[in-house]
Amino acid sequence: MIGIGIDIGSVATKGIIIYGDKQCRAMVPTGWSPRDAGKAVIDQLLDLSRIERREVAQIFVTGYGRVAFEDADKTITEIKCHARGIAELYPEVRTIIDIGGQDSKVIRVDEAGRVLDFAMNDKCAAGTGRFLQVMATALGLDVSELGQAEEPAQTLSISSMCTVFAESEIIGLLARGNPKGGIIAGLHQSVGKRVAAMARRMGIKEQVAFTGGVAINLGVKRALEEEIGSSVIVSEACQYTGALGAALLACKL
Amino acid sequence: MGLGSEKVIRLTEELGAHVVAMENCSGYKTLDLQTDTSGDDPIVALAEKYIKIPCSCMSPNTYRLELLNSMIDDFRADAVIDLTWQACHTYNIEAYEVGKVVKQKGLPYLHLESDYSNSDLESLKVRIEAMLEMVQK
Repeated sequence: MIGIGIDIGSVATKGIIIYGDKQCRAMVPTGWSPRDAGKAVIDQLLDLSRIERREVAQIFVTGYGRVAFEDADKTITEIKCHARGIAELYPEVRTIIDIGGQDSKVIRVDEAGRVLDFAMNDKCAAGTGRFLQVMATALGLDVSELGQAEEPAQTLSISSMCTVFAESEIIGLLARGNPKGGIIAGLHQSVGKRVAAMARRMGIKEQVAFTGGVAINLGVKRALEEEIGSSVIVSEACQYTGALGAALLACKL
Repeated sequence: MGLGSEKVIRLTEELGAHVVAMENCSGYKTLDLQTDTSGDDPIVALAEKYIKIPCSCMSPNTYRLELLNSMIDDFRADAVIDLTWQACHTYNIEAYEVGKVVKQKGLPYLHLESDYSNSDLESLKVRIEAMLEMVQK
């Protein structure tokens, strides 16, 4: 059975096609149209796998753009898809921390990958990828460069959680001649603290997996590990976890 | 919780669930209590009824937890959504106890905090939808 899972996030649209024991994956920026981004990813997946659209049994769509996409056989929440994706990759995981472009979530799962409980950030951008993106711009960097920053001698603590206030705090820190590295470490710590507080409320049960686009950032991973006091697993395809879950469910796996 | 809560009810029902009961200020909370008609003074009897209201501004408020416990059984609920308004601190704090009651009964519990605006519709939707997925498993 051939199935496609698409995860239309606020920043990137990810897709995975599963055919037999093979998989292909593709990613495009979501841009302003979640519908077009979803279509583009499906086209790329079909090209990569050399499979015709009519051969695909089901397309399951998740992510905030799931409702805008009409071609879906079914829409599922990212929460269930991340749980399913992680159950496939790391069945020993009981707590999933997912940080994407506009959401951060903590999901507790059982041994079968079923969702036991979850928590999500409020509508504010604190503790999300958007927060890091805005801060990177203030520092004259691309968001992907934040994670590559070397560990500084000193972490400058950023006390504002709010994206707007944190930006002016950074400008103040820069004006006082503080090094970029220390500020970046402070930003990572701020995201780690925020999300760890949510995870502690849920109850952290090991092992812990870290998914979503922000999981690529090693600085946030380190900060999170420090805050929750346990190591976290990051898969090499952490951004695709939701799409993988959707694709597995589309294949009735 | 009167006007404004219909946004959450609408989302829940659009996602295929039915809201079977509401334990809110203008809902079942006030209906479960009966006035004692056997006494001599009706004013005192009414006052005694009103002071027992299971509102979170009363402390301790164990009657609310008992009421929720029996409402879950009476209405055969599959899940409980606890909607608190932003800055309604007493209900917000009590949500912790309510969550314990619901989870003890083995049901999914979702605590939402919202306001009268429509700006959080999508993020409310994903939470409610994920909770309903937990019911369907």
